[in-house]
Amino acid sequence: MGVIREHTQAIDGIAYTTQTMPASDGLKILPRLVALLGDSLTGLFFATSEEDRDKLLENPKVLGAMISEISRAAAEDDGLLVLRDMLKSTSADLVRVGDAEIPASVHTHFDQHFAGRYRHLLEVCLWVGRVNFTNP
Amino acid sequence: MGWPRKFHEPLTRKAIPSWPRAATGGGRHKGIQPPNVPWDLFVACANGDGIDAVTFQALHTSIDLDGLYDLIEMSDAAESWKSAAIMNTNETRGNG
Repeated sequence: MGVIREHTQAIDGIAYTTQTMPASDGLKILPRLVALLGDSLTGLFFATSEEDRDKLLENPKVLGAMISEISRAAAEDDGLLVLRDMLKSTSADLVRVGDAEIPASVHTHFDQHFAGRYRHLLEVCLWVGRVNFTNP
Repeated sequence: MGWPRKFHEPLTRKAIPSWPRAATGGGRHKGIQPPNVPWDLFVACANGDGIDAVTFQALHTSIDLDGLYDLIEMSDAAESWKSAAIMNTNETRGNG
C-alpha cells in the first residue's frame, strides 16, 4: 500500500479489477461514504474479514440497520451516488451492456450493470472500500 | 509502515494539528489555513519554505490515501527531530 496498485477479485462469478484511488480522490470519497453508512457501520463492514462479513449480511438485524442508515442518508442528498463514484477505476469481465456481457468499466455502465442487483453492488463496493481504506 | 490503521482513521486522524501554531512561534498572530485544499494534502506538500508541486501532483496520480498518511507521518517525525535537536542544544547550554 502507499502507491496506486491494481487488485482483482471474483464476486458472484464476475472478475472485477480495480485500482486504488489517488489520495486526493480518497479524501473526497471517504467522508461521503461515512456520511452514507454511518461511522460505526462503515468501520464494522470494512474492518471485518470476508467470511465474517458474509455472516453479518445474513443477519436480518445488521441488514436492517444498514438499509435504515443508507435510506436516511440517501433521503438527505445524493448520498447513494458515492457508490457509483467510488467505482471510477473499476472494471469487470462480464459487464451488462445492452443484451451482451462484455469486459468494460462498471462505472460507465453502472445503471445497467447493477440494475436489480443491489446486494451484488454492495459486495463490489465493500471490496473496493476495503482495498482503498483498510490496511490488512 | 507505522502503527496499524483503522478504516475511519483518515477521517479522524489529524497528524499534526498544532503545526501552524508551532510554525508561527505559538503567539497570538496566526497564518491562514488553506480554505480550498484538503488539510492533509497541504501538510503533506508543505516543506517549510514552500509547496512541493511534485508531491502534490503525485497525490493526484500515483500515491494513495495510505501513502499520504505515510508522508505526513514522516514529515511529522522529521519536524520532531528538529525540535528535539533545538531543545537538546538549549539544555546543553544550560538554557533548558
